[in-house]
Amino acid sequence: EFCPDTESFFTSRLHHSGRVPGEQRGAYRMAGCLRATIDEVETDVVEIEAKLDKILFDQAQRSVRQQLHNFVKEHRPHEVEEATGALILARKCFRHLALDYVLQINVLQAKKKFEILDSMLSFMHAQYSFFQQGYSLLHQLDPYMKKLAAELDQLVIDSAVEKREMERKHAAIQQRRASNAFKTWNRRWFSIQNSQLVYQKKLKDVLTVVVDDLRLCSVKPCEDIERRFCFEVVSPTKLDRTASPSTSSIDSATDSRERSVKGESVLQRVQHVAGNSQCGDCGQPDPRWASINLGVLLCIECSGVHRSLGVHCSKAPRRWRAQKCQRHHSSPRAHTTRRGKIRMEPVPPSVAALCSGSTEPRFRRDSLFCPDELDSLFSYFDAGAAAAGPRSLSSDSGLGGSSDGSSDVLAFGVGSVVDRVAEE
Amino acid sequence: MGLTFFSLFSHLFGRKQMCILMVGLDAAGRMTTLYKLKLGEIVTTIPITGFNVETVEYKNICFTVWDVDGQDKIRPPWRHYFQNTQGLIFVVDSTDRERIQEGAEELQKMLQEDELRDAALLLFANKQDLPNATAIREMTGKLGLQSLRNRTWYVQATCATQGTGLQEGLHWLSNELSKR
Repeated sequence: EFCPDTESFFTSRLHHSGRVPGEQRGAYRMAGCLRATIDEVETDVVEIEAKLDKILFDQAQRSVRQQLHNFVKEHRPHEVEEATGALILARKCFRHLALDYVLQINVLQAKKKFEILDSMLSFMHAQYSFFQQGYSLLHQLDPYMKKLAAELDQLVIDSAVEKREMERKHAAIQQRRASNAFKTWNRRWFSIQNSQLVYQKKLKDVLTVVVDDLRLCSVKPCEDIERRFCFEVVSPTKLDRTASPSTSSIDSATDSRERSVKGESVLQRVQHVAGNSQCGDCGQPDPRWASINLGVLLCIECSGVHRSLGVHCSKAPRRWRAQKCQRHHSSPRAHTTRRGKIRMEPVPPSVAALCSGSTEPRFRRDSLFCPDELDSLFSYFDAGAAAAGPRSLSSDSGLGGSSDGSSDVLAFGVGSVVDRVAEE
Repeated sequence: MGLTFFSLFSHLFGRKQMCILMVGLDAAGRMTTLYKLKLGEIVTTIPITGFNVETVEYKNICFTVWDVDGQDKIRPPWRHYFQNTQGLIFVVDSTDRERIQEGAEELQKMLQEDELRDAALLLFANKQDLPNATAIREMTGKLGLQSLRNRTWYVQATCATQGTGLQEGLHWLSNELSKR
């Protein structure tokens, strides 16, 4: 009854402590060992017990039989004495044997205790060494685990960076697709006809309109691109990028001396445009200042207010006064009312002015092309035209406009002659 | 003896006179700067067609500031006024990125004037309170100040309407000029 208890105790202990399968296996092996030892001891005990029983029983039987035999055969006093002596002897013998038996039993019990303790101790030693080995093994594993953790962190960061990069690329590609940017550069022949920018692939090809109204566009050179002589035509709806083959570009456009001579007449022309005879904000007559990004003529007080707003609201630079107001062949009040955020507190537009503005057709901007930008655009085409054949074009002719101020500013013979500019 | 004492006295307590020329493109904020310095308040300005002259006192130095247009056309007539100009204040609109190059060209032209060869250059990067204002470092690069030779210069971020940076700029100028 002792052994199964121990066994179950150990087994349950092992079950509890068992974490790793290897450890469990080792523990089971230990338990098996223990059980074998216990079994052996048990069989020994049983054998010895059986032997002793048999001996005792045989001796007792023999002596009793002999005494009975003697008693029946010859019932004599000396025989009785003999029998008594024999009985005593037999009893003594029995006592001795019983003593031996008890001794044996005790020895066995003691042995059983030792063995179990011994095996338990060895089991504990084995357990100890096993865990020790496991500990040292795991300890060796520690730097590796740290390294692995660091690598894992790095991997997470890397993957995050990569993901962001991919997203950025994805967004960029989407944007590129949306903005219809060029993937490759192709050669096209461009010309300006009726203030439209058109191109054809060959001379006899059909015309494709790129920009509907050049007068609504602005031109700026792009320095950030790797190609040379590139400029952008920025229209209200889209953006085109063009490379000019020529080098005589914007420099020729900045020559403004000739134009300033006829500045006064340009101012008069600009003022003649319907709505330009009054200041766009306060309605004073004879406005001589301009806001070039809003396309309005202003009196000097209002231009001061516009200036103080900053260039992100209104651009009213001084040098635009009088001589370069080509752009403002427009109805200024209509334009100002559209841009509601430009409110002139010191000189609010009068109600009458607003009313008269609203009756006029809105956004009738016949020529909102900034002359400088226009010139820079033309200079590209001029260069192309010069290559095509000798043709006398004064730099002023592009700026003149007609006296009513509403006609095509670009009409310096471009309509008939095809200026060739290659867009690559 | 008396003369020496007088000069010492005037050195200690007297007002030093400085002629400062303030130039810049139009709408850069020269006039606002000038009247903020002079009156401490914001005046509603209109584009000036001539010039403004004001005296501004700062730390015993009496700055006579000439606010003139940077344009080529009208500069030659003013030239003889600036014979003894000791400082040049160049005002730039930091938000007008399209015209910084123009301003740089104007500045180079001014610095090549013979009358201004000894003048200390103080650059007011104005309108720094507005969005999209050019940073000082970028402004320095775009105006080509690093390539200047034989010229002491200083860039000061200012906001003329709030008056920030103006005093600091004058402080530098007075320090620089009192060394001479």
